[in-house]
Amino acid sequence: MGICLGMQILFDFSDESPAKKGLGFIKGSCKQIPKNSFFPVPHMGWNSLVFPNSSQLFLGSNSYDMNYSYSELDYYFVHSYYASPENSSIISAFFEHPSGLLCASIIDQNIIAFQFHPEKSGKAGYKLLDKAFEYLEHL
Amino acid sequence: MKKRVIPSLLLNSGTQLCLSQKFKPWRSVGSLMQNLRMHVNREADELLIINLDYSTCIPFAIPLRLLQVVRNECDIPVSYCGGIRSASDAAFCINEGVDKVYVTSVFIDNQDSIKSFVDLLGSQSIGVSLPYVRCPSLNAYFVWDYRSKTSTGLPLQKAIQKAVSAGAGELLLHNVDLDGSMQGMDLELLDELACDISVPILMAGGAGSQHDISIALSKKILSGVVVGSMFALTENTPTTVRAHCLSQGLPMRIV
Repeated sequence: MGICLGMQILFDFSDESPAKKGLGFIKGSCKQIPKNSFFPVPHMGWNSLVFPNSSQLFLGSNSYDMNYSYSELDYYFVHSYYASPENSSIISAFFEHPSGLLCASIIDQNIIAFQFHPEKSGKAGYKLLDKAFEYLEHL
Repeated sequence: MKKRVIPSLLLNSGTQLCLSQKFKPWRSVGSLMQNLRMHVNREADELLIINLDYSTCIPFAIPLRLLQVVRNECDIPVSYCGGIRSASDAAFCINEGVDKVYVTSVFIDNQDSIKSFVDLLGSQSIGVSLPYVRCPSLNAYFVWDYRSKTSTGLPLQKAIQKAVSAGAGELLLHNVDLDGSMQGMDLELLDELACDISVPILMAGGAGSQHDISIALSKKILSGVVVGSMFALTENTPTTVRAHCLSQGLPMRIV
């Protein structure tokens, strides 16, 4: 399980350190969050997630559109770069950005990763970690 | 993005906490451990620990035990400031479990110095805390140096630009004259600040009621408020403040 930088390091490379290689467990790279006057970067503080309705980590409530739902609770983010996997079907949660949904979490077989900090998100975070461990136990 | 309500804990002599007025230690309010537990239980959005012991010119020995207490007690985000002089001081604090560090004096002494902090740790872990005063005769704001207790002559707006271009990930604007007054936050400054500052802005100084906070947070530019005296001296908690702000239509975290 990877959290924050621990998620980003699973990818092939990151624009934050162009000459360095990542672990390459997940195909894709990390990019800087596009700056926008409605979205201060670093992305810092509490934000809701947007789950695909099929996500194994689904803890949604209000619907975002037909295939996605907002999370019931908020999670703590602190980052300037986001991971962008080549295979978008492994994304288990997104966060909202004026340019569209960006990746906040992935599940790929026995790898789970979070861009935000479930361990710093109080009850909401523990609930999500329980869900993640439940998934891993049933592999 | 949700707006944040951040209690501040002012450390004075070891693990004792105090309140301040106009940047002077004022009244003692118990121990660090007790207050950390209280704020974690009350579900604060984040905590800011300001260590006055280390904010003088005395060479800094990083209080390892203190950081360990914080790490053991908190499952919410914590920022630390006080006495961080170098990128390696900052890295030490981050490695010991705090999420962000704030610097003031290194920035006042050399506005480019935080570039090395950002190179090592990334913008998201480095904040700059800017105490400021308003000079009524010039109708301008200046950064204030807590060591000499005088204005530095550096205009606040210029300091903000400098900090952002050096890579600071968050700015805390702290009104010295309103500090501990509980008489309302500096709305005038919030109206004057350019709206295109690209990083999150926090404000401290003057919060005395739920209303003070909801009015300040209704300004688009503000991402959060830092609150000291009000949480120690009134019945308000982060939860009651968030509930009030929600009722005013502001985006707040629901717990």
